Amino acid sequence: MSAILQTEGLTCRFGGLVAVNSVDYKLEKGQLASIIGPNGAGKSTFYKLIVGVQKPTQGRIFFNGEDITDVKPHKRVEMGIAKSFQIVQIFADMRVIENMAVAAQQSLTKDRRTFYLSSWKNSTTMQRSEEILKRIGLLNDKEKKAGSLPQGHKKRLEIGMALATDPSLLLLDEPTAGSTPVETQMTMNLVKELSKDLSIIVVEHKMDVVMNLAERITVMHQGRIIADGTPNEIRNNELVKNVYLGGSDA
Amino acid sequence: MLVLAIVLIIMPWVMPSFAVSTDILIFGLFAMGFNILLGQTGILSFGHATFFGLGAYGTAMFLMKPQAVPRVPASLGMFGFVTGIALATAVAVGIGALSLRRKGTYFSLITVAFNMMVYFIFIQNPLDLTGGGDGIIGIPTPPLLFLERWRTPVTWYYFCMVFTLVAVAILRIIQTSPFGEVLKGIRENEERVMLLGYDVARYKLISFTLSGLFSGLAGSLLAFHLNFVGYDTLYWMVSGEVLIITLLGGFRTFFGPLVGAVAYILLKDGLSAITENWMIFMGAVVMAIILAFRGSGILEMAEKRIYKGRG
Repeated sequence: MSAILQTEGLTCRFGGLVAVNSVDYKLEKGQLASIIGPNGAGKSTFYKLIVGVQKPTQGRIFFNGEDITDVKPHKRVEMGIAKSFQIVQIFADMRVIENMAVAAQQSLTKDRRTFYLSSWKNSTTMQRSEEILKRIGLLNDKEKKAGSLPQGHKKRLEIGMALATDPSLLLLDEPTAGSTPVETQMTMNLVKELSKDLSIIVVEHKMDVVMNLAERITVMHQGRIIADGTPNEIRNNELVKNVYLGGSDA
Repeated sequence: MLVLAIVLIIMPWVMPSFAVSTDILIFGLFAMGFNILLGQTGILSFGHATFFGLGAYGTAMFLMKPQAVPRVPASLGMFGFVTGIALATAVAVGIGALSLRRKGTYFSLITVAFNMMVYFIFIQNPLDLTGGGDGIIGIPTPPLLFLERWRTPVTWYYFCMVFTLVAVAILRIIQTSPFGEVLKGIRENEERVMLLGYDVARYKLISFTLSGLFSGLAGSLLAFHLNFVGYDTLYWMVSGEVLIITLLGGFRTFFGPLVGAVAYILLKDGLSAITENWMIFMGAVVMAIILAFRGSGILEMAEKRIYKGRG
């Protein structure tokens, strides 16, 4: 049994609202899983708890068997958890290559002389950045300002930045939101390819996107997990149909 | 850098006086230090007079008693720089650690509050260290390369110029380092930087401290430049001045603050010779420049023009 990520009774309350309600979730190493659910289901909060920008009210989080509930966010990244955001979070006023460099040079912080006194355009960082840019298909845009890119490109740049931190667990928050159909396809292909080496969770709003992508789907509703299974099982689940696909309170 | 060296070598010969040129160096350096925080990290401190003033006082308090009596032998003059910078830096760590817990306006207000606190402490002349309202007079020129014997406005300017060039070179290295890129990232999007695995609080504090260090160096130079330190170097208006200088030159550019210092000091020198109400006119000019350039600052605007000309 080798779960890369596991949560036990994870709960997050905002006043009277229970955004995440005693969630027990488990992700096996190498799995490509998805979490879906209607707006306000608690998906994004669940992510925030895992990366550590939000503190849980109750419950524990385990990464590779280690309790990380009280570990600071930046340390969790060093341990191998990376996240891309629902609303694009890039350094808009910096060039694409600089965006990648900031992401790719984290390991340099351990070597103070290099970190403070060498040029950021060092060969290690540049090589790594360009390699990833090539992989996400943005190498030709590297000198452009990140803020000037089309939405789909920005989304992929974000995934690229997450990749540059060398994660073992990648959390993607609606990676195709605002993308054109062509870009959506490109992103999905990228995710599929990445899943060969990584454990990935994709949070999605659009069900059709994940049906063809994930090997396992978890459905959240009002902070709870209401279903968990293969895409086919989820498609035929009555409860899911009710709350998600056409239910009155979806 | 080479261009800067040439410009600085020629500058005093086209300026009204060498003393004005030295002022430009000192305030330019101060503003560049300030801009590590504002331009690069995206944090607006409104209390940087604290570190500028403490740099000056740290130098003066080590070398002199307030009554123009030396405290240490003249041969230790160079250590005045060390104590000035050390005092400014140490206090920057403390104030930074406390004030950086808040963001935006709250942060800026806390820095003003600390600024005023230090100001009022120093004006009280605690332990007869600061000279209170009289300040500290008679600070000797540091004995370097026989400078104390051959000090003229010309040699003194070039002495300060070497200091400034070295400081600017160090700032440049920091700005273009991986660390500098992280600071830029913090300016653009703090949370993203954190989720790329960086301890944001730590790097903000380092940025704040470096900023205080270079402001302190500028203050230390000022103490030697004027042979005097007064409580007005700690006044909150100085915190405003450095902001104006930086905005005037362009806070998004590396050399902007230096250009701003040229413009500001020249304006101040010119206007204050004409009228004692020079501040009114200074305000008008600054506002006109900022409005006309849409907040870009002189150097930024010039760069944009040049790029357009090429394109």
